Amino acid sequence: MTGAGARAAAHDGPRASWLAAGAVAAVAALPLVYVLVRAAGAGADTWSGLLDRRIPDLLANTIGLALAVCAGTLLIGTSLAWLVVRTDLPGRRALGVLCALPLAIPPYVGAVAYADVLGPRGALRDLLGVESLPSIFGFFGATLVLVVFTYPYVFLLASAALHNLNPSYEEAARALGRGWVRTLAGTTARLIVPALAGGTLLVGLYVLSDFGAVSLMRFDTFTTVIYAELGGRFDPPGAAALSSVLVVLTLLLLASGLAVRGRGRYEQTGAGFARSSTRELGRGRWAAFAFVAAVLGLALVLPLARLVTWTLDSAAGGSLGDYAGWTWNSLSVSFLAATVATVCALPVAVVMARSRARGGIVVGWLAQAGYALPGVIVALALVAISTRWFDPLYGTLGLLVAAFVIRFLPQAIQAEEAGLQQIGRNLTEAARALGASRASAFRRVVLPLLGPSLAASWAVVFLTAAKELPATLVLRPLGFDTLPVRVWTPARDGLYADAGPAALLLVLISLVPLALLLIRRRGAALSL
Amino acid sequence: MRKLIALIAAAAALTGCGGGSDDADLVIYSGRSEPLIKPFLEEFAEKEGLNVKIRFGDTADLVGTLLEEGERTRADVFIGQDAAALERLREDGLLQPHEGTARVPERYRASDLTWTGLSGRARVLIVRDGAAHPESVFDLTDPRWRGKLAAPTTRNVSFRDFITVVRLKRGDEFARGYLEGLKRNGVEILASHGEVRRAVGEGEFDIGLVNHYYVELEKREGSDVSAVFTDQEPGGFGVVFNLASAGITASSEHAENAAKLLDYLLTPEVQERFARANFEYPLLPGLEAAPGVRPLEDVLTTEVSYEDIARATEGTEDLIAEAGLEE
Repeated sequence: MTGAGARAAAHDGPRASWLAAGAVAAVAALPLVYVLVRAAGAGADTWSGLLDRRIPDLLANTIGLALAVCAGTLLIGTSLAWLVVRTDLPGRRALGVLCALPLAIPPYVGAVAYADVLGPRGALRDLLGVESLPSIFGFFGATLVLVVFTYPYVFLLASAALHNLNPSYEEAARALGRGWVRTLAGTTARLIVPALAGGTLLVGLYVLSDFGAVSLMRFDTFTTVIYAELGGRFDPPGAAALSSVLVVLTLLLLASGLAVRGRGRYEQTGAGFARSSTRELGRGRWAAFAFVAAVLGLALVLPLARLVTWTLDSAAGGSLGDYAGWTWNSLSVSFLAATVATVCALPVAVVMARSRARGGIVVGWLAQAGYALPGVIVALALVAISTRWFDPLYGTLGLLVAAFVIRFLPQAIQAEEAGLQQIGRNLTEAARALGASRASAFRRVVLPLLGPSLAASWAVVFLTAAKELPATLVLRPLGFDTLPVRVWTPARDGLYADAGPAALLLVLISLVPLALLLIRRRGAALSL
Repeated sequence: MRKLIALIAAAAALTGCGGGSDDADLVIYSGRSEPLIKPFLEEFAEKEGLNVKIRFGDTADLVGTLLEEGERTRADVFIGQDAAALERLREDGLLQPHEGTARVPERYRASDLTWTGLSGRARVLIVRDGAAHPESVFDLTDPRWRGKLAAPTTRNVSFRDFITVVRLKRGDEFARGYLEGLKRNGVEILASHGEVRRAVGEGEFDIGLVNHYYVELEKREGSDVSAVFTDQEPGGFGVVFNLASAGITASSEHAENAAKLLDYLLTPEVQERFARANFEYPLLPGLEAAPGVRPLEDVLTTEVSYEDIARATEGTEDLIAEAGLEE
């Protein structure tokens, strides 16, 4: 090899994958382009009005919430991970699985349960026998719900990192005379910074995009106001302008998160190393156990118990047939989204993994525009684009699936690219040398090896699509109600109990893909 | 790969990816809640042998949807929780007149017949029997009622329309002072009207701000509560009277069926049954409210045009937020 250029040329994927990746990237970036163009054309009046009245408060609310939730999840997720992976916590294996399960409970479902139990007339107040509780609604409630239902992102990445950590650094630190607390804080923590940054970044991105939980906790962030601008206020340019601010905010978060993750990367030498030592907690074991149990009580027992009791004494409307129909709708739209996203991600992942050309990077970034596009914004853009230029698409299931694919494509790309990176080039080269065409080498050698990554990509998109709320609310075809819609509609009117059965069904169908992910790779597919 | 594409195509076909609902004879957007109105719509569909598709949602959200869809909308009929929503659609030229609505008294419909009220609701106080209460809604800011008052979330359309009317009749400064006074008095903001009526029914609060039919619903469940119609002295403010309303879209492809639906909902028999099921006021002349509900002719309602309410809605949101009552 004479230089990087020649190498890139030799290893650039077949032209077909470039073309396909380019097409995918163009579609994926369409909403982003639309929002930015529309915002730029919103006019000075719209902008100055928003800058005066809304944007300062919204920035404070949204950034404040994101910071609080990131700090909370970092604290809880990391300590749970350490306790479960590196200590002699009683029942650590089972607890480790349980700690990841809140991912099957969408935050807005958690919010329904919390609004009821911790609300002004809720069970907690009756339990404590007090006249009234401080209001759960607002910043505190939104933070609480989001921390409790998103900490698993940090937990999963942190525990995977702790699990895979080469203990030699820590042993060195101990040998040099550091106590275990200082080793933990100084050495271990520093070694897993990339994982913590990755997990916290996922949490932050989620907070910026969340619509359901903050709405039910009656706390205004960009998403809720954008949604309102599309509703009664009906101000599309204003909505686009606010969306562009949110997109910029998301991009800033993404950039800083990736920078921290990259800067903190440490090389590990060698792969076959001993298991890390287990810290003995001594008498603190049961205190630690109580802490884990308390988190699980808030994140699993409380919401699930409420959903189950609601379902059991449900006088909620809807026959069994209705629920079957809504479940079927949820399953089919998530199935389509997962399948299409997994297929669309493949050429992009190939181009990203196999090409060092600048074009590959650009295509990769554009195809992952979904990270910067909360569901409300994808919905707003697709409604506008389809009604203006692709009218037959408007109101079809296809458009909803497209929204999901754009939104969740990054997760599929990440999973598949990670898989491709692990497949050595020499394998394809060997196949080529033996006379296989490029396409057949890919099909017969790479694809079979990529199977687990494709499955992970499929499962993670299915999981997130099944829980998606705001884009579904806006884009669903006439008469096409999914479980999230059926949770939202009564909950938004304060009829929390009526949301119970649909919420419980939603949690149950989310458990299947989540279990797949947890069994397969300790949740690594959920990473960035 | 080919197999995969075939699989996706099959799945798409199975779930009706291509729109698929073009067989509908009538498409309704309903901001009125499903349990309440669905039985009537289903009864109509069955009677006429029509395939009716309904999109339920929040009134404001559905207004936004219709504004965005414009004349490309597939909706034939829009049913909203308040008249201001329909008025907004009328202003944008999205509704068409229907002669059949002329049978409704003029103050309960658009003068150009583009929308009509379907039922009426008065903004009253729900009061626990035996508890003291003010005779004017504006006295609720008096320290005497501190901690005794519950209201629905201020995002609720009926609450907002009430504040809008206060603004229109008494001015923004007065409305602001009123909202701040409510806040000072520790008004408890609950999730919905349903929560407010239950909270008063269970004796937790003495007074709640609701629409009149919530009082009747609570009474039906055995609670000892009454409706207090405030500001009824001659020349007084009266109670705000709002309308659940409906109209036919300008671009309706099934205008005939849409007209049939409105006519059906405006037949005396259906109006009466609806009034009995939900305790709202029927709007056709000569019909009576459900037993137990104060007759409409004995109620002093606030004189205000729904057109003005529609125009002023936005400012109300800001005012509520500024008063720190947005919850």
